[in-house]
Amino acid sequence: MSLLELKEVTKFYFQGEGFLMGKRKNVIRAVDQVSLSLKIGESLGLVGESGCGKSTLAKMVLGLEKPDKGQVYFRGQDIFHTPQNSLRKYRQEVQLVFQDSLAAFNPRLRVREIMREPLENFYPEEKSSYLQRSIEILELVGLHSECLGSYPHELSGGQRQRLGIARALVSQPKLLVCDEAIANLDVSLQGQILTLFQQLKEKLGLSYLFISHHLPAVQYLVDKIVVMYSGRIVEILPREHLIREAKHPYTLSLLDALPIHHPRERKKRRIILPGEACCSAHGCRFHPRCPKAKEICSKIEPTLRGEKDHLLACHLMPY
Amino acid sequence: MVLQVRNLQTCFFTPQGVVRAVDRLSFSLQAGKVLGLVGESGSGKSMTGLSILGLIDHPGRTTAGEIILKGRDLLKLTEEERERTRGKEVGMIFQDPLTSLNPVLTIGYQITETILSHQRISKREAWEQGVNWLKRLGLTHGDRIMNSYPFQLSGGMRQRVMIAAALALQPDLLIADEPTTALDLTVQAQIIQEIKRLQKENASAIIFITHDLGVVAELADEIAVMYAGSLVEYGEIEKIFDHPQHPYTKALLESRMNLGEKQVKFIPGLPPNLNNLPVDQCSFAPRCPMVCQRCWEKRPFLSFTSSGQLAACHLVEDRGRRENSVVIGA
Repeated sequence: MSLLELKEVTKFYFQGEGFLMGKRKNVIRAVDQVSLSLKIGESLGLVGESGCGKSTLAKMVLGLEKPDKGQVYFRGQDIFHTPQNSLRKYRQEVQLVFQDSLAAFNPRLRVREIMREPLENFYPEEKSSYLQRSIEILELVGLHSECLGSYPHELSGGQRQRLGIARALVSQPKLLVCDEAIANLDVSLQGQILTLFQQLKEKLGLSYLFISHHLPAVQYLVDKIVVMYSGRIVEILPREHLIREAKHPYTLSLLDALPIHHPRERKKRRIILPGEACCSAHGCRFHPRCPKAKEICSKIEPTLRGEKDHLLACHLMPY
Repeated sequence: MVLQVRNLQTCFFTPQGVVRAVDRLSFSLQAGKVLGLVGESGSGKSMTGLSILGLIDHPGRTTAGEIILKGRDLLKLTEEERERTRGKEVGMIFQDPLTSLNPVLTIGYQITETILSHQRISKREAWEQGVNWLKRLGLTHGDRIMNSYPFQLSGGMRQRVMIAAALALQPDLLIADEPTTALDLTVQAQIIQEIKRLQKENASAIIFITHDLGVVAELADEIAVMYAGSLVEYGEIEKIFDHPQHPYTKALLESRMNLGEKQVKFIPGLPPNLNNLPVDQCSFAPRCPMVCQRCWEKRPFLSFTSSGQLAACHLVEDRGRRENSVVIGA
């Protein structure tokens, strides 16, 4: 049984215009018929430009947004169609790590209290072991027990991000949703946190839904990479395929947009996408920016097809 | 030489002690060249930029040094004269265009206001200039953008607007502080391409502040690596990328992630707290893999390395002494 399964999940937002957003005008297809599955212990990376629906998808996995259509199953249980009180197990097993670690904590709580909250919630009977548990988890993420008395603002950015991970680990989750969890960190800290994620994955058998625009980091941590473009999955590929076997023109252009490694590579020919992520109403959503678009692309929307674990939604590519 | 900075020192006088945000910094920049100023957060990159503009706020102050822009020491000017250099001679682009643009004024108002404050032309001419600059940055619907408010534009468009506003005055020196950090990679690639093109057309000098060595590799001619407020390595980009001499530069270059990497390399520990940082030791010593006794006793000065750049490290000094090179600043 898969840990997480999404079946044709769809979420549209309506953008109004005018005073108090009176008239419904624009439909934003944030997530459109996305199907995914994740086995226990497997990790998934979600990449794409801002506005492609990555965060909306994460919110639906967390149960924070209700999809307009489609189902989200966690351990075979449809989380939007079961009574709220039977979802406790799910809430315990799915946790979230935020991007902005300063905004993620109540500034008036000390580390001790921050760690205590989820313990009180999920393990109300084991009051005497709270301190012990908190210290254990803090040490697991590389924080000293000395910081128990500190406030979040007294910690450095890296320490705060570790605290965010520690708090998420309290309830012994199986799936950790990380929404741009390393984006606000310095290069050296990114490395430290990423190594921590990798260690936790091995030690605790965690699964990640890792949302990031940092392709090398995503590839390092996850097993399967999902590339999204304006609400649709355009390519799903195993991590080993990313460098040489990525096929979708959008995936290729994301790879080309990575900064070069040495000034000598300046002359290298690269595809630089024009414009910004936009959503075409007809045909393939990527066709207005696609360097290889043909006539068919503007008429028919391609479906996600492929062999085994490498799926692709493009008219022009052989499967 | 458009810009020469000598022994620049900017301190913050806090109740907890003196923080040397920029400490004895020297570099120079020629017209048409791009200097990449790199380092981790808190290394003093942005403070260097703000010091050159003269925008250091209380409790901070530029306490020593010279900032010579086209032969004139900016630090000797009165506040009024300094005011006139901002925008016209030194332009600045900030990381977050949403906070640097006024949310209740149209883009057109803000761009023409900038142009009119330095040029005696009519509003209509200023408007046309603005539209023209937007066009040069790849924003074709210039008039529509001039009539919109910042929130109506995407992040990439806003950053282009900021760059257009800064370039419209054709400053001799442009300071770009992490202008692409908040943007998507695809948009970052576009903006870098445009900065490169405009820089070639105008032959302006640019200080590009970033923590991303990949961005520096794209467009800088020289790089200056900062750590804890001072320069640790400075020189031509190819030399530093090929033969980094300072252990910090080496570590920074190695900690960049490549696709397909099975191991993550990183610099252990954290940058030091600049508050009451000891002056008589190497500030990188606590994190340095090659640290030796001398690093704790004496602060290294910048000296020429065998590959031609400057580095502040005792090991480099040793190597240099063997080859009879000069130590500067000692």
